[in-house]
Amino acid sequence: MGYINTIIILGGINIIAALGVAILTGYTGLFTIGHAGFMALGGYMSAIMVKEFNVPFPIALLIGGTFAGLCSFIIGYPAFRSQLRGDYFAIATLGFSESIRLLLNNTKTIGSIKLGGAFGYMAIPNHTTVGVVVIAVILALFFVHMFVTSQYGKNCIAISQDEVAAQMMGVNLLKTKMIALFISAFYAGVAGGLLAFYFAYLSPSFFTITKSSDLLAAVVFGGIQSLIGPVITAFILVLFPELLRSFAEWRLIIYGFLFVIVMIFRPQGLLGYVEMNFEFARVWWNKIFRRKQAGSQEG
Amino acid sequence: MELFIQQLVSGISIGAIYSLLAVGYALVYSVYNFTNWAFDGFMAFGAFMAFTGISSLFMPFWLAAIFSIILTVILSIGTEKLAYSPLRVRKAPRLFMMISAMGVNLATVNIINLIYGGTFRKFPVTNLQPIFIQGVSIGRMDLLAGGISFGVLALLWIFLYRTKWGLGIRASSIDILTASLMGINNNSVAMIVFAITGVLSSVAGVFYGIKYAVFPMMGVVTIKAMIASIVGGLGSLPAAIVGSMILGILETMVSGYISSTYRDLFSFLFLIIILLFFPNGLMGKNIDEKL
Amino acid sequence: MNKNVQFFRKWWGLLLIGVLLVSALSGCGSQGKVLKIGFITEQTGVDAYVGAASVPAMQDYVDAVNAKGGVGGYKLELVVYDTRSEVTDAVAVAKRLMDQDKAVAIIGPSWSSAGIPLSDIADAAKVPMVATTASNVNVTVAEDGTLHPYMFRVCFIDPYQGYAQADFAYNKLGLRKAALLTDIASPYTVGLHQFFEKHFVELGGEIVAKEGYTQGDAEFRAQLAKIKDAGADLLVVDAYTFKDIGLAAQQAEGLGLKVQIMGGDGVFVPELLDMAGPQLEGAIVTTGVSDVDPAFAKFNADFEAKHPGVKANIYTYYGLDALMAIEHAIGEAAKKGDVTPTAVRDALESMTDVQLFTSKVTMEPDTHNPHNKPLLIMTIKDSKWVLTETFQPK
Repeated sequence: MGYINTIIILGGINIIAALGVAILTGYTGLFTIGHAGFMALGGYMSAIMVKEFNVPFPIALLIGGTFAGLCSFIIGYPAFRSQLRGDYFAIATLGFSESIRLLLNNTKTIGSIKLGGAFGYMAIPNHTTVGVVVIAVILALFFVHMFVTSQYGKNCIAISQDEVAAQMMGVNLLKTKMIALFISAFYAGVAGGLLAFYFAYLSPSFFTITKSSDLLAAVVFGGIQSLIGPVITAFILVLFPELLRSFAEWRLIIYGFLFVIVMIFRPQGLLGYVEMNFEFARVWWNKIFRRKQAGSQEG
Repeated sequence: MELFIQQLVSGISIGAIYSLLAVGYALVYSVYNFTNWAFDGFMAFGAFMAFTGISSLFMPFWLAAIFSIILTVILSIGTEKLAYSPLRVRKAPRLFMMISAMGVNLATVNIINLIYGGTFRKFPVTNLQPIFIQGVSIGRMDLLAGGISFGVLALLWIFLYRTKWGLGIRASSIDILTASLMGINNNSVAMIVFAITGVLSSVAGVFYGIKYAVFPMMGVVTIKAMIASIVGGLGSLPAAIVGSMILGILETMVSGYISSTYRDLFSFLFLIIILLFFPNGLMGKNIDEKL
Repeated sequence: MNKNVQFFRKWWGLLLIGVLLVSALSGCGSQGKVLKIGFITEQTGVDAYVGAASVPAMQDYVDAVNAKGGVGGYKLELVVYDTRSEVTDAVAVAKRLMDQDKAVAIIGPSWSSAGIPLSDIADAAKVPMVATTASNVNVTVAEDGTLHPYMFRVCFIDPYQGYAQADFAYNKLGLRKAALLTDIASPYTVGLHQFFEKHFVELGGEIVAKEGYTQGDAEFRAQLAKIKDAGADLLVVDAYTFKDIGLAAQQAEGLGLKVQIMGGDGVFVPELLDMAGPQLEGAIVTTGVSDVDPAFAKFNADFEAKHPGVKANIYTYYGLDALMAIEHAIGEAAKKGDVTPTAVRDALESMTDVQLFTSKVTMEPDTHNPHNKPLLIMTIKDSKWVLTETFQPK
């Protein structure tokens, strides 16, 4: 059962981080390949809070997320103020993430806190359990759903369609983008924190470009402007490698081709533009239930 | 003083390799306004094809180089036709084209990894001794690479500014729709641009492979090239070269005089600062949002 | 709600359930008298060359053992999973081996960043793991000094190798001014250089330059020019990847930097000689296994004949060490009764003078490191390895 637990925990963490990317890339149209950096920031901060300052676990996670969000201003402000084009922003996020990794690798100690540099930050308490992750995912989904159905969410969508038109409708580009980035970084930071308390250890090598690309893949395959799509895909992307173990070397090749195929044939992803609501549960039930009735009547 | 000049020389030689890649990148960007992330894979592909030519097919170096160029051009044009043009025709958002490009890159690099394995290979080319001028060493390979880079770039310049096709490309880079109205065949332009990209990536790949090593992940250096061309100013080929030189020299100087460990951090900060003060790069075209 | 959406939702839901069921069930199934040994290694990702030769070599060995009737009455099955060079995946596949596949022991990981979290996980699941080349001290012994009962390794640890390098450089080679070129992203390199520096300075030497780079870098001329300027007589590059030391040697030659070069076991691979043999003439590499030993030469030749295009290397050798250690432990456990993971663990801990692939190993019960594993000092001459000295700890 420990294996299933691992899948659920890692899948849940991936979902939360992917939701962060979904807000930024799926809803606001800003391509990012640097979210691993925010995960690292959130992860280390939460771990430090608990290990050095005995802050209660849930609060530490929130502090970690907030820290990541605040750090996002470092690239957000210059980038959005100068109206950085999509590609530039992507490279900026990449550079940011790699710089974070570089700094972490080189920082052995901050004052009396032994961060360990490349050796990693050790002996973090093991707080992440299946229960914790499930609750975190539910809360994450709830709040992000509120965000995207709010006016802010609609502003983000407007920006992703046409910035100039959005601006003309009164959307404050700088503010909206920065909020989207903040929340996106916050989610990644919380995911990073959960990861830290699961491995009981943090190393800068966890937060590479590969991780950022994995998150992006979840959003690309799952769907633009959708929440449920990336959620399902993020989970499947954790599950998938386990099923394809004999084709391990082919997996990334398949992902690559899928990126292209999805973009050409179904750019909205698998469940793009599908709003999440809880109607689906009832509809599902009805569909199966009604089918059964129909079948027995014909019987 | 000797150390300073040595660092300068090293910086310039790094800049030369960045230039080849930056120009290819800038060319695609100036015409199509999107980042060809697949460049990474094309470069590795070029290097591996040349490597295979020499080591498995026993071709002499010049033949292997041509072999590599031809194959990379085919790959590049193929990618254009299959992965980009369907999206371009549909006027898909840039985001989609970038994702498609990333997909191509992922697939290419990992296919190479699958076939050749992840280990680092050496080009079976004899090592040339460097020249020493007053204690400063200048690699012969670097001179050759620099010379050929600039030769290729000069040829490209001639092509763009002195031929009809070049004119077509330049026109498309200003406005693709109008250019097609003027009778320029968009498909031909696409083919030519990507063919040039193929040639540049192949040459860059081979040089990089000779100078350093051949391995599937070798393409990550294209990110530096992207930074270089952004710094110089996207949409302008001379700017890409200038940006590359600046980046190459800057990196080496930072590495030499400040800290080799934090070198990449400085490159990144440099990029951000440049963009803060020069949103279109140092020499970039000013592209306003037209209403 | 449109039909499309309903369609997808229903099928995704069913797919998810199906997938979970399949993976849950895939681990079950009776073993008969077969014991599963797990092997987690890098088959894709940046370190893909690590697993490339190890997997076929270990499969060959398992086949050979089974052909002779197995161990203690059991046949062996090697279950291999790819870590993708990522810790998250390493943890997931290790857990799978422990819970689903019910492996009796697991070989791996090959790197310390994965080894440290995995040691806790192994302890919790009570399945022994034998790390191949993870050399950071904290893989088997936690930061606070407690031992991880279920974690072992077959390679020597950083303090040992770093010490040996400093000792040899100072005492035998008479070098006094060392320069360190460190891959700051690699705990292995950082650790080795740290211990090298400690002992070298203790002996009276001086570190004249400390330069850094990061995994994936290929350009070292800026750092090397500085090192040349600092007047170093020794350049230590205990890289995790052989390409780093190979390129450093080439670029040093290009700059006219004449210096003794030294590397650790991470670069002891045949490809290094192909890459930069001439430039590394006279370089020293410390390692745990001698390629020059006729037994290994024969192994390498047989291996390459059977698997063309793939060369055996240090990861192969240590992988085989781990495999043979587990084989021995299974045999011992079988003599005493049931072969459970805990029984295998106990047998591993009490291993004394057991002949593994690279050398005879006695496991230190208080650190789970191999005791006084012979450290060989090799010199590169004419693009070949030559055994120069065997290091004896004091």
